[in-house]
Amino acid sequence: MRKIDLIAQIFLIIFVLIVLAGISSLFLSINLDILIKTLRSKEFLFSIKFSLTTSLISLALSLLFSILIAYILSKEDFIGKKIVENIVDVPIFLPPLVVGLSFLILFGGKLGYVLEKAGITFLFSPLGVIFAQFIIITPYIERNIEVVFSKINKRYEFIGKSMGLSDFEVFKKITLPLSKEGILTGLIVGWSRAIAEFGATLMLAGATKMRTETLPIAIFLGISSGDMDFAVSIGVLMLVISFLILLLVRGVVKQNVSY
Amino acid sequence: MKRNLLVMLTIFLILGFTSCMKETKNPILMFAGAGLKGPVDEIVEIYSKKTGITVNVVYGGSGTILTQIKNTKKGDIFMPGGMEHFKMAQDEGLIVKGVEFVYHEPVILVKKGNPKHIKGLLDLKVPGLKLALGDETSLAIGPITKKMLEKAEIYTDVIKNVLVREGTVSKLVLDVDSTNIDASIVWKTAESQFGKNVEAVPIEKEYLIVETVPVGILKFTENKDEAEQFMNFILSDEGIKIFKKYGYEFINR
Repeated sequence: MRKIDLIAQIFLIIFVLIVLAGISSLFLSINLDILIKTLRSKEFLFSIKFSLTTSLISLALSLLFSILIAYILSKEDFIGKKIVENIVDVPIFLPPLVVGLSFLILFGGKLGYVLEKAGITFLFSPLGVIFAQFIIITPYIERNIEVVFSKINKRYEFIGKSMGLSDFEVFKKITLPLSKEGILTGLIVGWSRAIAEFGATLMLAGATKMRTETLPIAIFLGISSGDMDFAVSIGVLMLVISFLILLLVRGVVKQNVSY
Repeated sequence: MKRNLLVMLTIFLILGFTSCMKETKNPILMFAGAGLKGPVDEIVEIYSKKTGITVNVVYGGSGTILTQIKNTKKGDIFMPGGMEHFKMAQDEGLIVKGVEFVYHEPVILVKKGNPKHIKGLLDLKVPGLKLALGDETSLAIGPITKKMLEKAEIYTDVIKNVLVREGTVSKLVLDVDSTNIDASIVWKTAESQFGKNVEAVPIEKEYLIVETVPVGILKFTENKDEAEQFMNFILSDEGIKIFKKYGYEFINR
């Protein structure tokens, strides 16, 4: 047992060192002046605001969908359920670039034309960014929630019902509170995924400065126009932001999950 | 508490959506090579201030933006980084009107003070030199470097001196700037990223091959007049001046 502990520790240390080496190379290639200059630039301020807004909107939308989908998939058994489950998971298995390309083609066709007449434009627009994030993160969040939903002992819900609660009340008063942790984990995964989303956004919403410029798109624009300082400083700032999100959400989880 | 949260969430959602759906009336949609971001950003900003017309520029690799154009049948202006994808678009009849208007030329990048006395392309074959060159498939400077060396009939000799191939021009600059690499071939337009420890040596006229940058109006344009007006602004003295500032040369006709 001891031996395996030691081996495990060595592997842990190796992995931590690898991650730290990568991160520190990012930090070492930048100086404070450039970092502050980037922090103050209009482009950076736009992209951080834009990233936060779009990711929170897509997160909220996705949470709504995920809870309801997870509810059905964890409770009901129906013909073709396996197929439906696999379809829901498609965005996990497909590279985001392909997801983006498929919707680029879809919205580039007749459907896009009809939607556009109705005033809804997904192509090369901020709405497209939200759509891309929503599609990519929903299966991840849904999975997390479905796991906790299906773990809940059926007896609690049964007892709730036998005491006269309606289905909705059972869901609200028993199922949801018992699933808090899974939902919050889903939120962490979903939020960080949404902020990091790049491939689908690039295809569907395009890389347009100060319009569809999320943080990863800003990094892409920096790299491809030779502005490495800008790209690296945003990379560093993204690292800080993701860490803050993790700490923030973890803190909330610790406080709230006590049942 | 929960109900409040829900109400806040809903308001937030609606606000977010409406702010995302706000659009100016007839913005021009332009697709441009990502390497052109410097001058294009500047031109767009000046043009918007002057006319009040918004120009949304989607940047990307020249192939990527062509894919986006073809699949969405959208866009007013197309400006890829080189002729390859512009010709493809022309062959498919996507360009209503187009012109090659500026070019960028390669230069030899050496350490400050030119300690190895490199005066031109022919000096790169001197045995013992350490060179870093662009990858021949993934970035535009690669094949152009090869063509120039072949033109000078020194390709096989120079290849022996190549220590490393790089995927970006920035990395080539960095190699000469801060490693033991003696020289490289990069775009003159990369001058803004040249470090303090390097300088550029021009390539002999007889071997020089340049890359031209085209601009064209797409057949999908819904407001041809405005697209044409914007293209004319790019081609005006004011627009060309901005490209020159970034190291591009005007194509004189």
